[in-house]
Amino acid sequence: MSTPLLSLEDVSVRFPVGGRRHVTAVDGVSLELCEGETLGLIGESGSGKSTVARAAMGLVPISGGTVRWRGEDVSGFGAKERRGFSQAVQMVFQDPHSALDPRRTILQSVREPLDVMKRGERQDREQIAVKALEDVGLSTQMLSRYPHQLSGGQKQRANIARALVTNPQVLVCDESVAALDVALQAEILNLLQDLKAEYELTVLFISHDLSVVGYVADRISVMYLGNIVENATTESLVGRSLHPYSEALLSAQPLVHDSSAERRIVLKGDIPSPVSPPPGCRFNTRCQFAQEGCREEKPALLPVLPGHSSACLRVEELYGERRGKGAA
Amino acid sequence: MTVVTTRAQTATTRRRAGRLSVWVSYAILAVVLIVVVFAGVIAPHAPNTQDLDRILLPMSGAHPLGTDDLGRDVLSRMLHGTRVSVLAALLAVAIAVVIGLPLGIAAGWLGGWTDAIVMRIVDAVMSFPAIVLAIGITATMGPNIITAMTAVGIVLSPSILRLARAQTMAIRSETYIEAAKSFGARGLRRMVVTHVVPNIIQPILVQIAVLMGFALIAEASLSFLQLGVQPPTSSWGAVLSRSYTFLDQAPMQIFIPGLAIAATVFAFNILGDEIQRLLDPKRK
Amino acid sequence: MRIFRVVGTCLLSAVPTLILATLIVFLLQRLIPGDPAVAIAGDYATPENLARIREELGLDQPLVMQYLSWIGNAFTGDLGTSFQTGESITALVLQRLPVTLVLTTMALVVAVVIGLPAGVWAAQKVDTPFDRFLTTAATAGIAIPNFWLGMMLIIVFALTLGWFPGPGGVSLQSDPAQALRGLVLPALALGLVGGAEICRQVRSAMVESLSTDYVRTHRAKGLTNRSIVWKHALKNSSLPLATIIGLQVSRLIGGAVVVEAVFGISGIGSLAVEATNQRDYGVIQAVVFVAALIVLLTNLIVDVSYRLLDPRIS
Repeated sequence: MSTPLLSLEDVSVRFPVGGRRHVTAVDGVSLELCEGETLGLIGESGSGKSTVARAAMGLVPISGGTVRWRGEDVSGFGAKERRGFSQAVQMVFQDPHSALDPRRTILQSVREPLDVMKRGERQDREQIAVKALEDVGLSTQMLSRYPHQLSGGQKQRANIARALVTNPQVLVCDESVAALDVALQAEILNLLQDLKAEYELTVLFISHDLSVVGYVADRISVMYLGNIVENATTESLVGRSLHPYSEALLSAQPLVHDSSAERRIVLKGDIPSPVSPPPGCRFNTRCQFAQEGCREEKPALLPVLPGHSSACLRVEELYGERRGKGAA
Repeated sequence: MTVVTTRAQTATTRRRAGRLSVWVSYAILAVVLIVVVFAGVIAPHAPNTQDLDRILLPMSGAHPLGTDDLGRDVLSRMLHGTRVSVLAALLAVAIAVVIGLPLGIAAGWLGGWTDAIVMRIVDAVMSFPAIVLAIGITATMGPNIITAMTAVGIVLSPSILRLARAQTMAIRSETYIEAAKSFGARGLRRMVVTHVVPNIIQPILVQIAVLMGFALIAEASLSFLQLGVQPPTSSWGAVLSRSYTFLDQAPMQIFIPGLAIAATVFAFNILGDEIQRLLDPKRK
Repeated sequence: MRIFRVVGTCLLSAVPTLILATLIVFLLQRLIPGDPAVAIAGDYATPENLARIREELGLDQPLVMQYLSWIGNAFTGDLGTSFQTGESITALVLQRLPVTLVLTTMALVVAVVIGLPAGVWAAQKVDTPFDRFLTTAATAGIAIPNFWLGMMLIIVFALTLGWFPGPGGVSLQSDPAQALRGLVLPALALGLVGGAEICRQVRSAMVESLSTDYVRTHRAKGLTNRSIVWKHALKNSSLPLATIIGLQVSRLIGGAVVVEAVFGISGIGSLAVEATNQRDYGVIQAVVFVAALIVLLTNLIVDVSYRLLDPRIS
């Protein structure tokens, strides 16, 4: 396999929370984003998935690990390489409304990345911005409007257009459809699929919604409390999940849930606070299969099947049978 | 049904009442502006010409507001004084903005130590009653209107500073700021000038209108205490100060300057309320 | 013993502000144009005189030392000596302070008695013609310069009706009853304007408080309007109220300085004005310092009551 476009190696992010205490939002996460694929990152709110995206983009300082762009450590980048990296990796944010400056026109907002990077003449920049707006399906009438004059869907299109003007290779979509209603979600998801083909994009798609991720992603990583607990192709994850948490997510999805699945898993309680995570396996407080060992030893993310890894101490006991199915 | 009608009626009355005070205020401000610009043309007499044969005259055709104890025409002194008072207030507000706006944005944007230090100083300045500190500064540096209004500007600056800081802090956590960072926007010009300033300027305008009122009253107070404009220059406060010495002989000469101050300050406050109302997102 | 801990915390957090405030007062002296000694002694002072003043002010010492000795003296109650009269400035201030405090207190009572019910009333009838009228009246009230209002009150109630004494009151120490009568008009002049301010601020605090779900729940429970407004909503906005009143004390002290001049009351305001005319810098400095102390003390009380009132702040 060739070098991944963007990779995270054992990345941790810690935030201070008053006094000397810290919260570890992301705890030793590794991800690889290969050219042309769509990687889905899924987890509940508070699982650290958005922080992973921000760490990858350099928007939050990382306290451990390495972010690599085409194999090179991002932290060693000079100003010029930094700018190249910013150009190549763009982000579409969750709330389409607050991601646009209310005092700037749509054209001004969409053009801004090019202005910041001081690329070419003003007129060329404007032309690129207009083209991007056309590509996302916004008519030229919208150019001189302000965000509050647009609908939620139109605003998110403008956000996507802004992410496209630098002609990026990677698009990070952080809950990009979560704030929209279902009909609009489908519209925007289809738009993203089209744009992916047209702009030859690699996509990191972050969502709490498995049905959305399952629709767009080639591979899926499941996050829980700052850790990645399962990593697999979409097909493999949906077909034969090898982690109780993923299973719980799957069984909560009426559309994706396979009725032939042997177990229905219901999560108890809320996600624990990352300020004081439970010892051992982070999921043990809510896992119905948790045993004594789960409260002592933290399971590593290990390959179980080709291209499918899981972080569960009891993976053999619980999923041995499925594993056999996969291997066969 | 009755309820609905009552509500609708109430809303109409309110709109009319609201409109009325707003239009009155605009009219007052327009008059003040005209006087500031054309004081020399409008005034029937020179403001400082004394005529000791005609002191403390009552209101008449020749002297609509009468004459003071030096025989000067009070109306002319009022009109010229309007220019001095308004320009003095503008100076104070300009100083408050020049000090408060950049420091407030810096404290809000940078946070951390910068914020802690700036806010400590603001707390300290605000622990003085504004007019007392202004008097202290002016009395020490020597009474004159520029010093006095600079001092007023300094004591008013915390209100602009605190507002700018709070607004900037709110904007700092907006997603569009993070978005700008995500495509590499850095630095003062790109972030503060492009994103912060346009987004905080409207509430600042409201505050400026309110501060104009404060500054006008401060000018009148300091000039009344003879710490502001120095004789023979006229201002609203100076006219009041002079008239006060013959309070029992010509009470109307107290009335008009005070009314002018009150009306103008009122108009600025209503203007502030009106800008605020227009800004209210719930209105739309 | 929560109260001791609360007071302790508040005192501790007030210390840096106090130190910075004293620094500002001290630096006032540096604003004297030219040589302070010459400014104090006048242009025709003898060299011996100048040297004496320099030594007394500690002007020959480094700035830090000057500050430390000044602040040390100030907190042991020694604010220096007046260069015009040779009297102790502390004694001067203490002699003038009571009447200013009485005036400010009376004005505060007037302001609260007018402003609080008016604000609560307007908030209850929010967006009605009545509210509009009251709000506009309050806006007009704020716009009135308090010292001018004082003059108008003199013209009407002292010169025309003769109900109250005119300017030039009696000292508080010699004839308290007569002196208090003389303070009624100035207290009204200050308090009416202050009341207008309080009215506007209370109204917006109460409008917010009355629109909370908490109040709506009480309404749904069928509590009387009276009990909702005066017991629950008012209690809920006690924090903004404390701030409003704290702020008003600072405003009234400032206003008192000017109003004292109008009514010829010999409080610290008049003291500052006299000192200005005589270029008695030490006295000016002392008045500014004392005014700040009063405000800081008020803020401290507000801060303590905040923490005692609100269980969320500990």
